[in-house]
This record gives sequence, structure tokens and C-alpha cells, in this order.
Amino acid sequence: MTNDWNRRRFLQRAAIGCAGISAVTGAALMAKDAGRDAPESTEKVSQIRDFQASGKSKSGFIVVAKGTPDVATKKAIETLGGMKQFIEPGDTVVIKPNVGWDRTPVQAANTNPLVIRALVEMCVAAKAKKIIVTDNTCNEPSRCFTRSGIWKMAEEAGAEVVLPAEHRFRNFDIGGVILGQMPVLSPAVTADKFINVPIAKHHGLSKFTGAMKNLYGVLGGRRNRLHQNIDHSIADLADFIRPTLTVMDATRVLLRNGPQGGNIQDTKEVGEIIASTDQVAVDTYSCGLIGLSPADLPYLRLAASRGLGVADLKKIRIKRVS
Amino acid sequence: MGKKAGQQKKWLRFRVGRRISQVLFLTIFLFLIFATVGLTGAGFDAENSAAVPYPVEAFLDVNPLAMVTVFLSTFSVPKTLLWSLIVLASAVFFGRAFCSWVCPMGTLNHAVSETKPSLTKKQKRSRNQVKPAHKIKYLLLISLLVSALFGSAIVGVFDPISMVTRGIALTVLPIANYLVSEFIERTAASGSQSIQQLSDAVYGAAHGFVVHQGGLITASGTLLSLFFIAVLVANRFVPRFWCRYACPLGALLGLTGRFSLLSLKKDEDKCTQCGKCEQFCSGAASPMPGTNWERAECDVCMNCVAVCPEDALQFGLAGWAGLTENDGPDLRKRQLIGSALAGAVIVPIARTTTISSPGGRPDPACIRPPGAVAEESFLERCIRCGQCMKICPNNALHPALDEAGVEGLWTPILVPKVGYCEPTCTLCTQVCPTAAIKRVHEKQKTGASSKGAMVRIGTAFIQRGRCLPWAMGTPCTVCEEFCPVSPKAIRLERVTEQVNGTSVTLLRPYIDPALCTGCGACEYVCPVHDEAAVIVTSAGETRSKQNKLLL
Repeated sequence: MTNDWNRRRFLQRAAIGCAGISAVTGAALMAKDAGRDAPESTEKVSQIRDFQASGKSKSGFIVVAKGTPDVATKKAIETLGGMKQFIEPGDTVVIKPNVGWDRTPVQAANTNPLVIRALVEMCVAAKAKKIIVTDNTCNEPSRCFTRSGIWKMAEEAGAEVVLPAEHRFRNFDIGGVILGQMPVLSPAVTADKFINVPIAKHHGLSKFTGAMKNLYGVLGGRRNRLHQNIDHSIADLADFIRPTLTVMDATRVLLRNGPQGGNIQDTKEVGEIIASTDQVAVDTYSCGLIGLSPADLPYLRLAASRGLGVADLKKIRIKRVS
Repeated sequence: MGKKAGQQKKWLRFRVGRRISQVLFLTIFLFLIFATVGLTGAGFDAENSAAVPYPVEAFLDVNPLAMVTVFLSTFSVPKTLLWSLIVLASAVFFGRAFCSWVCPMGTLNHAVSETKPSLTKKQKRSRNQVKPAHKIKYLLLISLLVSALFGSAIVGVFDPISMVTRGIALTVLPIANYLVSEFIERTAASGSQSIQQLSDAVYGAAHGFVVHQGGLITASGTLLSLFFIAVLVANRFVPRFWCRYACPLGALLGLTGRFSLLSLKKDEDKCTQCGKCEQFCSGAASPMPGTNWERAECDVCMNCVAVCPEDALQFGLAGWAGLTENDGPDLRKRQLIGSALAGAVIVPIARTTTISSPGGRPDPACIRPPGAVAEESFLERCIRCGQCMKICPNNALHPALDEAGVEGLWTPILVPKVGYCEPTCTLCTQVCPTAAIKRVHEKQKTGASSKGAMVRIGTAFIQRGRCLPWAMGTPCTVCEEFCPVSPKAIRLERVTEQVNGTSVTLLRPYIDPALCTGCGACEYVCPVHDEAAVIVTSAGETRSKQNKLLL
């Protein structure tokens, strides 16, 4: 190439250069404008759908069924009026077990898979359109769902297991006393019906982890900060999500070293399934199964004072079946 | 172009066969890397799931360089490495055919080398000339084997099978994970429901394959990545650069194949000196009649016989009268002594100097995977293939820089800040090809077995100045909640403290060093996010006699 610079060529090059620089700068400014300065997009939903089936909720009423996990679960729901009372044909139902840990069923750190299978079968029979089983686990999700036995049993019974993948979290405004905007596992809260299926366990800080504490499992982000005010945050969550049904797995409970245990000696066979539409009443009854009294759990009082349910054991009507 | 010479058709078929073989073995190799996961999903029972499904380390098991190294450093050979005798035997028959028919690193190098179609015939020929510097690989091999004799498996840094396993698992995979995850995140963030369904579909297809829960990074892996990429890019300048100049496995196979049965028959009478054979020779092995064939450089790619228009070149299993060859590298006595000496001093240098760590004592950050043998034996065995790092479900294992000394470059260490050792997982102990990590049972990790058999990889320490209940009057028990052993190694003590005039009840964490396994879950989940208020160091690891903590 010859080095024949002239004015025309200089101007041409200068024009191209300037255009290039302005294009890049413009693009950068636009990108900055769109990305950095704009507030993070959030779905402002202070109160998500009230999952309670209208007219079917009985505050302060619980059913306690004795038996093997699946039989007792079916018996408890039947006694409560049957799944058709709560699930309408065509509903999308979320079943939220406790799948917190990479543990097997005998260690009683996760909800028993037979309970989940029984519930899925009943939802199928009630003609639910779609049944989602999901939880934001503490240990690695694939291992938790597999080794809890829930992945296999839920899918065999006709449910879909939805893993807590990062893209499935959306910012929601919890609208609580201390919980504001938090990332929430969106498939868990955008269904028609929500069945909370906790397991009764010991917990070092909140002492008891049952129904209301199990709702931590729909939160993402840095939820480990919630422990700084655990009682209020549990009450906030119970206010945010009012489940259609709460089915407590107390077939085998964890007495010590909760919430993940690990040692079979920490567990105790109780053989009960507790079902209710009142999550506060379920926790109030169930904490006794691991040797606690409702007075030990400040979050029960907080929830009751917000009108979320009954926290006074004397006012709870218990129907026992076996 | 005239019609094909009589024998050429046959050799063209061999070349096609070689290409099919390369694609096949590369596919198997990549499949095994991506299949290096514990099996999870709806198809598995609670009690017997999450085991390693296939012999994912197969390519390392057949690696004779790993076998020879471990034999020299420990005078024993893990049973699985005996498979490598097959490859060694293949060299006796077919020379370096492994390089060009099987080796996944060779195939990648070969593929990149082919990306220069614009070169003239003359340029191609000149790039494929025999160079004296090709013998560097033999000298490197000698150095590495001598250092193995001195007790160091540093050979893994240069071993092509380790290099390509590491490269795919610790460089390519995190990049793929990053890109696919970004795509999923962005489509999921869009308002449109149909686009959000796309992100779910992509996640469903890629989860457990390239998409890793919670992201995938390689801590202090930049050097490793650049090294791998540089090896690939070098092929743009010299075809199969690594294979010709540096590959110690290629050198080992070249030396083994010194008296191989396979020979290149050259017919000088038919040859018109057109130079096509040289133009396509992948090993720079001097295929042209009239020159000495370099047996140890030839990787039997079948290009020369396939392109010769004159039928002047043939491969045959029997020797032939007019064979003119150099059967091995021309290694001078002084070069041999020099490289052996270099290998001999590498180990003492690596053990008496450090780059930045103080040395002399176990490094707090040198937390080895559960089942790792004592450090000295570990360095004798670990060939830095990265299989353990790949299979870790929590992205907890990472290639060391100098946490284990210079000698420990790219050996696995646990970085609890990135991921903790999953309490019941034993996957990394199932894939180590050289038994640097021994098989461990789940019970040994969770403390559910007898004390003596328990595997402890380190110990947690509370940093009271950073801990919320210790220093800041704020309740928190997350470390205790996550502690996976039973009874828990983190004990809580109830105290009531005056904070700004109000009394606050706090549960303060204490570590019980007799119960702590060093899994790092506490450090990982500590809400003090940047530098945790509880940290795990290698102190108290059961594999070490020196690094004991308790009486």
C-alpha cells in the first residue's frame, strides 16, 4: 500500500473515526442508562393470592390421624372433608414439603416422601391440572430432592418437581413488619392452591421448625440474615402466605440436632399426621410432639395476634382418627 | 489431478478411519466429563443414589504416563491404572498411533491446526520440517520422571490427558455454565411468558449438564485457563505444537514405540518429490522418500499415505529392506544428564522455597478433599487431572496455586467460601485415578461411624470479632443450623447482654474440635458475607500426623 495521504483521505478517515467513537460512546451511555441507573424491576405484590379455599377454612380446628405416613395422610384429609373441598378441577397446586437437607427419610430431616405421594395422588383424584412440588433447599437441591425420596415418589404419582433454579426467583414485597422485598421462588406462590407439608423438627434458634418456619423455603437470596429476628420473620412469612392446607408430617420427628439431624437416635416415631387450614394451630399442637410448649415459641403469639390462627392449645379443637 | 493411484484408495479409507476414531474418542471423552456427576433425579431411590454412574476417569486410567509416574514415586501401581498397559502395548505395535487416533488433547490440537487453509503448499511444508527442538519433549519427560522418583507427581501439569480433562472441566465448562445461565436469567427476566418458558426449557435441558446450581467458578484458575488456551492457540503457528515439542506422554509412547512393528515403506523410485506427504504430515516425521523417517515423531495419522499420488508410501507391519529411519530422538549424553539433573533439583527447590506462603508448616488454606492421603503421599500421586473438582456438586474443590507449595500447583483444595463439602457426598473419593484420594464411606464423613474411622479435613474457628452474637449483640445461629454432624460440632451457649439499655438474649456459638469435620458449611453460610465470622482451616485433618490439634 502506498502512503499517499491527502486532504480528502484525511477527512474521510477523520469522519469515520469520529462516527465510530460516537457510536461506541452512545451505546455505552444507553447501556448505562438502561442498566445501572434504572431501578431494579420488581413485581410489587404485597399480598399474593390468598390460597385459602373460600368458606372451607376452619380456624382452630385440626385433625390428628395416626398410622403409617400414607394411610394417615389420606385419613387426615378425608376427615377434614376430602381434597375436593379444597382443590377445584383445573387448579394448579403447589405442594411445599421440607426438602431442606441431603438426608434420607429415616433421619427425619425432610418430609416423608410417602406423605407427599399420598397428597399428590389425592390432588390428581381431585382433578388438579398441574401439581408442582418445590422447595428452596439448604444443601445441594438435586441431592436433597433425590435422597429425600421425594423426587421419585412425587413424579411417579404425577407431580412435577421444580428445582429452585436462580432464574425462578422474583422480587416480591413481603410487606411484613421486618421483611420487605425478598427474592421468592415464583412457581411456589403463583399457583392457585398451596399445600404446606412440613415435618416437626427441633431448631437451634427458633426451637421448633414446623409449618410456619417451613415457609422459609420459598425465599431465596441471603435468607440467612433472617435469623437476626427469627420470630418476626416467621410471622411475616405466615402473613405473606396463607396456605390452603397445612399437613404436618409427625410420623417420625427430630428431637435434637435439628434442623438437619443426621443421627437416627435423634429421631422418635410418633406416627401422627396433623392436617388443618390453620397453620398456627398446627404448630401450636405439634411443638408438643418434640417436648416443647407453645409458650416457648414467641412466633406463635405474634402470628395469633395478627389474626393468622389460633395459638392457644385450649381453644384448639382436635379431632383424632386412626 | 490424475486418477487415484492403486493403493491410495485403501489409505484414504484408513485416514477416514482415523478421523472417525478421533471424533468417537473425543465424544466419549467429553461425555465422560459431562457425565462426571452423581446421579440424581426422579429415577433414583433415596437410599442408593448419587453414586458415580460410569468409570468417568477412564481416559486417565489408560494413561501410561500416570502409571509410570505413580510407579516411580510410590513403587506401587493402583489396579485401575493397569489398564494403561493396553496403550503401552499399542505403542509396541503401532508407535504413537494413540496420539493421533485416541488422545482427546491430540484431537483438539489437530482440529485447531487445521484452521489455516490459506497457507501455501510451501508454507505448509516448511511448518512440518523436523526441528531439533522437537526433542524438548523427551528431555521434559526425563526431568518429570526423575522428579517422580524424588516423590513428586508434578508431571500432571504437563500430562496431556490431565491437561485436557482440566481444560474442559475447569475452563470450558464454567464458561459454558456462565453463558447458558446468563441466557436463562435474561430470558426469565423478560416480561413475556413464552420467553420465560424458553428459559425453563433450557434450564431443564442443561441442568446437571452445563448448568450448575449456584454458578460455577474455578478459584485461582486463571493461570490454568490461560495455559490451556495457549496450548490450543499455539497450533495456529505450528501444527500440533504441544504434541511435537512438549508432550511428555507423546515422548513416552515415542520411546516405547522405538521398535514398533509398524513401519513406513518409502519407494524412492516412484516418488516425484512432489512434497504432498510433508505438506500434510501431522507429526513432522519426515515422510518423504529420500529422507530418514522419524519413527518416534510419527503419530500414524495416515495423511502421507493417503495423499501420495504415486503409491510411493505404504504402512506395513513387517520391516522392509530399504527402511531408512531415525528410530528415536537424537539425545546427547549431556542433554540427558542435564534434564535428569533438572528433574532432580525441581523437587528440592519446590520443597525449600515458596512463592508467597510462609511455608514450613501446613498451610491453613490447604484443605484437602476427604479421603486424601497424607500430604507427602498426596503429592506423589496427584496428577492434577481435576476430576475431583469437576464432580464436586458444590463447586467446593479448586486448583491450588501455592497453598500446597509450588509443587502442589493445581492440586485440589477445598475453598469453603465458594462451596462446602456436602456432608453425605463421597463422589470425589470415587473418581481419583491415582488413589491420591481414597474411597470414603458416607458414615466416615458424618461422624456416624466409630471415632477412629472418621474423616476430618480441617477445623472451624469462630472469629469472635466478626460474629454477630459475639461482637454485635445480634442473634444469629446459622452456622449451628448448618452444622451437619450429630451431635453438632457447634454448641450454642445462652447469654443475656445489655445492648443500648435493653437486655438481649443471645446464643453464642462455640466449636467442639472433637466433633468438627471441617466441612466448611458454617463458613459458607455465615451471613457475614465477605469474610465469614467462622472460618475453616486444615488444622486437625485426620490424614496428617503433624497438623493435629487435640491431644
